[in-house]
Amino acid sequence: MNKDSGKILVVEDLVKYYGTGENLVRAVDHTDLEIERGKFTAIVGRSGSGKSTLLHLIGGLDRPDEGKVWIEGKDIFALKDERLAEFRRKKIGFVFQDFNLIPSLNVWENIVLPLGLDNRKVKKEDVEEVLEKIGLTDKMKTMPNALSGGQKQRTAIARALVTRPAMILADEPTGNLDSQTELEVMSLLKSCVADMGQTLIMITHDEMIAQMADRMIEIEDGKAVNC
Amino acid sequence: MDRNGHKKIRKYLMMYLIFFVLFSVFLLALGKYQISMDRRKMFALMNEHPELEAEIIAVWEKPESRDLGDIRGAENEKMAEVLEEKYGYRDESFGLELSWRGFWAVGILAGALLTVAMAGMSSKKRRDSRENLKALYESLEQFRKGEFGDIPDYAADYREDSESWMKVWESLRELGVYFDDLKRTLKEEENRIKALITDISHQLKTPLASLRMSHELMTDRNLTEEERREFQEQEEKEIEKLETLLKELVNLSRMEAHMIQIRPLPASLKKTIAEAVSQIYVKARNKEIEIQVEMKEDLEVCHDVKWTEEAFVNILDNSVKYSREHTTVTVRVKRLVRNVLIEVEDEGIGIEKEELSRIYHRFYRGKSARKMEGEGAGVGLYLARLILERQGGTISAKQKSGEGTIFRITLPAVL
Amino acid sequence: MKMTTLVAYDNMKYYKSRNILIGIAIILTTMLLLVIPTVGRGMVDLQFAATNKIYPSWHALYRGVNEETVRGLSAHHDIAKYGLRSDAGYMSLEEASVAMMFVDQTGMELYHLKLTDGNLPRREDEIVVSAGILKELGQPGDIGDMITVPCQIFRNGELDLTEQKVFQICGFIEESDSNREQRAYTALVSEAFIKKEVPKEEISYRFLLQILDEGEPTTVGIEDRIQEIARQFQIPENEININTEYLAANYVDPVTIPVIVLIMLIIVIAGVITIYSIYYVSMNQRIQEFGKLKAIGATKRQIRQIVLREGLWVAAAAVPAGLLIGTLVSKTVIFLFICANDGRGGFMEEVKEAAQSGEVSLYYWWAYLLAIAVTLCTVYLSLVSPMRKAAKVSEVEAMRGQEMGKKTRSRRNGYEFITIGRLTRRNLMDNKKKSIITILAMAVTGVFLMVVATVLSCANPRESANSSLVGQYEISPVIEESNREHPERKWTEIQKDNPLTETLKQQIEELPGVKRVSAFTGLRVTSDIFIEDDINWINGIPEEYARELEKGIVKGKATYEELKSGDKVILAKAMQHWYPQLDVGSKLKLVVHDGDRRFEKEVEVAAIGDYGSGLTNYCYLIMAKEAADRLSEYHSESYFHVIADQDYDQTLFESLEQMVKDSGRIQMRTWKEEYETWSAGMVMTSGAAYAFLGILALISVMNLINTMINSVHVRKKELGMMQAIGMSDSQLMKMLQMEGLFYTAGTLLISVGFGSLAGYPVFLYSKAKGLFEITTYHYPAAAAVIVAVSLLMIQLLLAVGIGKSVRKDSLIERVRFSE
Repeated sequence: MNKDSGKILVVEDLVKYYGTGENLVRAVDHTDLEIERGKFTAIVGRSGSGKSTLLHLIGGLDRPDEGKVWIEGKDIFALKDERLAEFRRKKIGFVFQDFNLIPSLNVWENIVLPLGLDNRKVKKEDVEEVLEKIGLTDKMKTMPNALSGGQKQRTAIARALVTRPAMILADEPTGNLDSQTELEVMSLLKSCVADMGQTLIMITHDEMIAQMADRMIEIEDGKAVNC
Repeated sequence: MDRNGHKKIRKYLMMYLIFFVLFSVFLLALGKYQISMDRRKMFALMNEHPELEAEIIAVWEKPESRDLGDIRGAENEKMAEVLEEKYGYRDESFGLELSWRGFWAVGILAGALLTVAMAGMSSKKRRDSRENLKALYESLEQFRKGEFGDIPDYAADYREDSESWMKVWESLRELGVYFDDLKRTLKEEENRIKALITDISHQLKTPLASLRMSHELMTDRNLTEEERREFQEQEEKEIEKLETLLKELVNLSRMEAHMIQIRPLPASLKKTIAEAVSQIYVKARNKEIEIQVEMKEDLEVCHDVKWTEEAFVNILDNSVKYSREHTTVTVRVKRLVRNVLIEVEDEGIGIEKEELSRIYHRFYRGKSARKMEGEGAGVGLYLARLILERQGGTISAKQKSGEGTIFRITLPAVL
Repeated sequence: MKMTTLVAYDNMKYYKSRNILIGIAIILTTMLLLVIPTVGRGMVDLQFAATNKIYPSWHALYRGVNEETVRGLSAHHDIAKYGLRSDAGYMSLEEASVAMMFVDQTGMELYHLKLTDGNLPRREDEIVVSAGILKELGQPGDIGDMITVPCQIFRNGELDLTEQKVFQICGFIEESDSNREQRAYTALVSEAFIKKEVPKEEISYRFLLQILDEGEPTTVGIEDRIQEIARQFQIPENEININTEYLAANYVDPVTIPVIVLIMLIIVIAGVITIYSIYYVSMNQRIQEFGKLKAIGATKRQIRQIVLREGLWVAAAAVPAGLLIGTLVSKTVIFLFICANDGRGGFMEEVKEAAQSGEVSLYYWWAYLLAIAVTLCTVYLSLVSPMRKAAKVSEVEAMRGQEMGKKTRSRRNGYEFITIGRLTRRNLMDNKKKSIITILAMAVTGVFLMVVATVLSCANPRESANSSLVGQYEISPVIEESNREHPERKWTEIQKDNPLTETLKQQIEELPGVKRVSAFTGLRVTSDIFIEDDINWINGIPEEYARELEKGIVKGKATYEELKSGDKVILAKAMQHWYPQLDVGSKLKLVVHDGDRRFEKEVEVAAIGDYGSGLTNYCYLIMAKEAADRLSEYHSESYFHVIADQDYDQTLFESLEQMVKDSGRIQMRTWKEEYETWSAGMVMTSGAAYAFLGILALISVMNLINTMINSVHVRKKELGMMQAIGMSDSQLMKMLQMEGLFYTAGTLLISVGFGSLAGYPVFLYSKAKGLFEITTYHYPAAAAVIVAVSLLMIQLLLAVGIGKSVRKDSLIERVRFSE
């Protein structure tokens, strides 16, 4: 039943096509992948190479046409939607390029939202610690629209970290940021992940960011190529 | 049957007893009501025909004495006919001839069956529960044996659908994953140390071999004084090289084995950079390379002074090593919001794009670097990255559009 | 096509789901706007067609008019058409009754009388008969044949002795089944005959007339004219007979138009609120779009045009659909009405025939035009505000995608932790105005529904029947005050020989199933305070009803003992409606008509009471029976109320019916008939009212649907986001359910709460106006429950549907979704 639970993530023969006929896009085309616990993996590739789709499949946001994804030895697509959502909020934290904060909630509320969804008690000190780490303690009652891009992304990172998931999936988290903010966000993300021993999988097209990874995977025409 | 089972049986017996009593009482009341209704009809008849008083009472209260059984059959049918034809009453009694006793018996039996069914269902529930417990015990046994990876998946291996059981299985899985992880980390650590030892011995082999060779040549008596001196110099160089290498390797191994505690404390960054530059200064001047430091103000940054200096030295050394003569190496310091950015820019041979992510690997030396003569085991950048990342910093390199390389280093400004 | 039209068309297609909702709202609105006037007018027309068949078409007739007055009247400007009739007498036949009368050509028309053959009589010895008459006479004959007729001629106000007259048949008149059944016929003689037989000063005509209907006369207007003309020619009021059925069918009752206008107004308001709120709710998401249009150079006017035209495009599609559905619905409604009233007598039979024969078209071009015009007005009205809003959008703000004029908060003291409930609350509170508008729009309909339901639920047919008839059977003498033919039917004559005798009472009481018979006494009174010639009645109520009398008092104080004196009366509240100057303590100088006697009697109003028409029988001056009896020398029992064991008992009914038949001078009303009339009326009324309200409710439900869909659509990305970070489908559903529940709860709270409160005054008003004979207040619990349950159902279904549609897109599509 279990698939090499030593690896946090195993992707096996994953396929996801979009469209039909001439418009057929082989976003993910028979990809295999294994990622070790606690490692920082960068996924690089040209735009349209299917790296976002791969990440979404890994995160269980979408279901594949074929193939399997095992997280901590669990076949996630064997789960029903309801269980998958639960699994996702316990195990995976997402960070998106366009932050995707909930505009009607302030920083604090955005951060504790996943805990609320998981019916978990909010330990105030824990959240405060995360806020301290991202340096937004003084902004915790601020609404997202009053934040700068970097602050927004830091909030999003805090939101992804607050449930202490085993795996963080980040889709070009610095894509909308200037280079200095980029470095800042990256160092935050990296150190947080290192502190908690979490596995980070990140899509990026920036080679400098990719260098910070323990491992780099290039996606070409829907297939993963190890670098 | 265990004690619990007996208790359960007693419970169901009690339930059945209560039902028994209630049902009997209900039937009794129903019978009483029926009798009182019958009596009222009888009284009405008696009122009408006081002369038949005795007969009426007899029919009503003592049906057996009147031989009612005889009226059944043909007589009965005739009467029913009169009732229907003449008075328009249809006989709707289905001929159901169940006595009160029979009715009571049926009810009691049905109650008994129901109770047994309920008990059966609950015992099935208990059985399921027991099975779950057994599986749990087996899993714990497995843990004890050190096999953590194979916890049955609750969602897949259906047992009994209860929320609390699912939670137990989930946390058991988590526990398994955690133990497994712990076990694996230990193993990895072991492997790493092994690999390190292999690497180190491999690194030490070459210089030692050349030292041994020159030493052997030295022992050759047929050498001129000049030659001997040459060899001696060569030997000294090799020893020096070996010393440097050893130093690097010692640092490296201590770092890898977590023997070095990196303790970031607030300190002047300017001082650390100045110290690092001064260490590399002689080497740079030898190649007539200028080192410029652009730093507007001194910054109080949390870092481990000794080891951060070591990291900077390694990076600067790398830049100087791969730079041509008469060039400049620039160190820029910028304050970011929560980090400090240190850029080291050179005009050297640069690093090829494909190699960018490999330069931090242990003992890796770039293609062009290998062509260049010079010492270095390819440990410097690896060590620098290790030191910086341990402090929550990052390092990344970029090929400049013209010639040269930029290293970007970040360090958290505060902890 | 113009640019604005094109953009509007594209917009319409782009915002499909919302425009479908608006379309449905418009369809429903159009439908109602078409159905209400069409059905209203259709019913009137059908009744008119039936009325015209059954009732004569004269507006009024004046009795006892002499030749001179006839000449005067015929010259009157306001009389468009007139006919004459004069009764000559009766043929003396044993069993059949054949009236001989003169009717002129126009009179024939106005009476819907037709000759099947020959001409009207001109010479004094000419006569028009029918086959039936000839059969009764036992003389065969054809046109030109002579017959001998034994007849009694009216002379000196009574029928003279039988004379034999010889006539020549000059024509044949139609005869109906009922003629033959009742053996009652009419023979026509010439005016010359009457002139020859009756002394000139004794000849009296019935003057049949139609008033000139210039302009837009109403029933009330025509009646006024008729009275006025009579006054001018000194024709006493009791000699006027107004053909109210015909007038009602042919002329508009002035009350009808305001009612229809009011109903249409309500529809328009509901439509405007709904469409407006649908636009309002979705306007914000389109601000960017309008901003962009502005940025590329669209003027304010053009933006306004785009919004308006988009609405008109939708209307263009929806209005024809609405008209089509409306046409079908109104036809169905009319036929349902006819079917519901099937088998209820000749009149409905005629209505049915008129409808089925296609005599009445039931399509009114003006109703269609009206529906189109009013719908377009509705659409326009609901677009005014969105148009202005769209035009006001500033480019910069729009491009930034912020809602206009809305202060964007930068800080907020939020919750310490977030739950699904709090998320929902936050979303609703952030869109407070939107939520409130939605709830109010729905609540308006809800309140309206509850108020109508209150009135309808109070109109309990059992209670109405109880109120309009005391006991199970009501027996009264046949009273006809102004029938010369039956002078004995005048009340004052009846008093002298009252068929409601003590013997009759005993007879009835002896019937099985009768509990008792209550006799009520009636006395005619006039007074100077009353309007000229208005006759009122003293109502002598027996002691059995003492408690009811005292219970019904609304003002003042009176015990039954006091009423026994005869000097004090309780005034029924209905009377006060006509004579508001009368109040507790008023002294009334009454002239009591007792047989031929007239005497004055002064009474004091001791109290004002509110009673059903069953108790008062429209006799509003209430006294104790013994006091009323004292005032009369005769037996003045006007009503026997039979209180029986059962509501209806076939044998008892038949026995009573037999008594009525035997006597020939009494009539009977039964509780059962009253009950059936009320319940049939109620079924129709409440059915129609609830159907109307149901459609109205549907319009406002569109609103709820829109709000929910919109709130999900706007937050598509946000919801996707939340799902990405772990909100499960069931949590999403829960959130949507809670949101919908909030709208539902709000709507229910206002509808049921406020509706119940508002229902009570409306009940009081209806009671005061005597609508549906409402007497007691009933809380419309059934309606409240139905409203609540159906709202909840709709809401639940909606949430499920929306949840499904949300999940149709994959999570990724939603997370990536941006407008």
